[in-house]
Formats: sequence, C-alpha cells, structure tokens
Amino acid sequence: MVTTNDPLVIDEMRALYEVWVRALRDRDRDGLARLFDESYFYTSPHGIRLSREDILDLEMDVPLPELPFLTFTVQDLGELRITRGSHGLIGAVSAEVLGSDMAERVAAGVTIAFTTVWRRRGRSWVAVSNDAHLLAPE
Amino acid sequence: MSVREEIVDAFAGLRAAILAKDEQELWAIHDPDFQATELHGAIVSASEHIAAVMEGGELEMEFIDLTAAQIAPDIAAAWGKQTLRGVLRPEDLGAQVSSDVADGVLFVLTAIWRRTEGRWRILTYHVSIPLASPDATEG
Repeated sequence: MVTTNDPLVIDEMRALYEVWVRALRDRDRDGLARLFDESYFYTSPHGIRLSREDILDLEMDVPLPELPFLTFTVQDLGELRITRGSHGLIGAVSAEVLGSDMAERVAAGVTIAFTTVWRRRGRSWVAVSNDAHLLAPE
Repeated sequence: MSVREEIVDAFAGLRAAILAKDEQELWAIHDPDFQATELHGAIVSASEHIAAVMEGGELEMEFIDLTAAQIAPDIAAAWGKQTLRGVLRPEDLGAQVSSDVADGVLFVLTAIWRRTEGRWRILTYHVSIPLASPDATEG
C-alpha cells in the first residue's frame, strides 16, 4: 500500500490531528499526552530532538499549527500508519523556546513539512515519532 | 544480536549500496512501500530515491549516533544523524540544499525499517537540518 485513498482511514487520522490541535489550544497536557506513545520523540524543524516529556512542555508555548493542512497523505501499513503533510505556522513565540532564528521565522510565518509515525493501540493510534522541517518559500 | 545492532548493520548496508551505486542492492534494501518526504517537500518513492543515487555524482556519507527500537512486530524506528557530501541533482533535495551538499551537510534523521523475508528494509525516513551544524563538513 503506497498512499491510501480510503476516506475512512484519512478521516480517522485527520481527526487525530484535530484532537492534537484542540489539546494545544486548550493547553490540555494530558489530552496531548494520550496521543503520544511512551517512546515518542519529536524532531523540530531546526533539528533538535525532544523526548515526550520535553515536547509536552514545549508544545504549550508555540503557536497552533494551521488547519486544514496544506497537504496530507496517509500510508496504511496495518499495525503502522505514516502520515505526511504540510501546514502553516505563524505567531509570536519566545526566543527562549525556539531560539531567536526560529522565533523570527515563525513570527513571519513558515510552512512546515511533517512525517508522523503511528502505531495501533487498541482501537486507536498513538504517535511514535514526529519529524518536521521548514519548507523554503516558493 | 539486538534490534539496535541489526538496524545499525542495515544502515551500514544502505550506506554501502549508495556509495557503490549498487542498484540491485538498493532495490533489495528499500521496502516496496518506501516513501519519504524530502527537504523540498516532495514525497519520493523507492524508484525516485534510487534514481537520485544512481544519477547523482560521487557521494560521501556517514550515519552516526544511531539508536533504534522495535515499535511493532517486524517494525523498528531509528534515530540518528547523517552527513552527506557530494553531487546531487538540483531536483533531488531542492536547489539550495542540493547545492549545500557539495560542501557537506549534517542531517538529523528518523527512519523506519520493516523486516520482511528475514531482512530489514527501509520503509521511510525524514531529515531535518540543524540550524547550526558545526559538524557539517565531517564525513
């Protein structure tokens, strides 16, 4: 299976990101934590790798990803799903949180490309890893 | 051998196949479902990834600081860094990054491997570029 066209699968994964963004908006750390596997790692657009605990703290201090995503695909591999896409990110963020260079870029608005790897847990899915990088302006 | 050791070996095999431009081995080490998001945002398939290797110039690369864990039956996640220096086509990683590769770049890498028929094959990867990369010319 390369990229699924199954609307149920796509909608199921899209809904997880809606939960994700809602948890960020509501500063619901526990709600966000439920989406992340215990082994979860995040790699930031500037190449910093953060553990689950670190990113749970950081996520509450950065702007919300813009929904709907600009692009979104799902690879359904049975016990594993890989979602890829891109989204806008704009807003004020402290230089202490992201570093001055990233903070300036995010303030001006950037486009982020991401890859999230999910594994099945019961009837739902938890993220194992999430990687992001900045897309250059076209 | 632990899963981590097996995955480190698999990376060594991938590196060797890329440096040797061994097309048969490149096909063997890519999972048929391989996809990856490149730095310019395009999602590439195994055939496109292999074509970039085969049609690019000479490359130098190292995978470093690798760690790996099994996350599902026959699925492993790996994290580490990768150096890359050499000649790529502008369309492979975007004009700017492909140009930067000529001088050497350092990537932060996440990769997923799937074991089929007793062999680990790369299923996906995603790289980011650290803003400051003092090691960028190593490797």
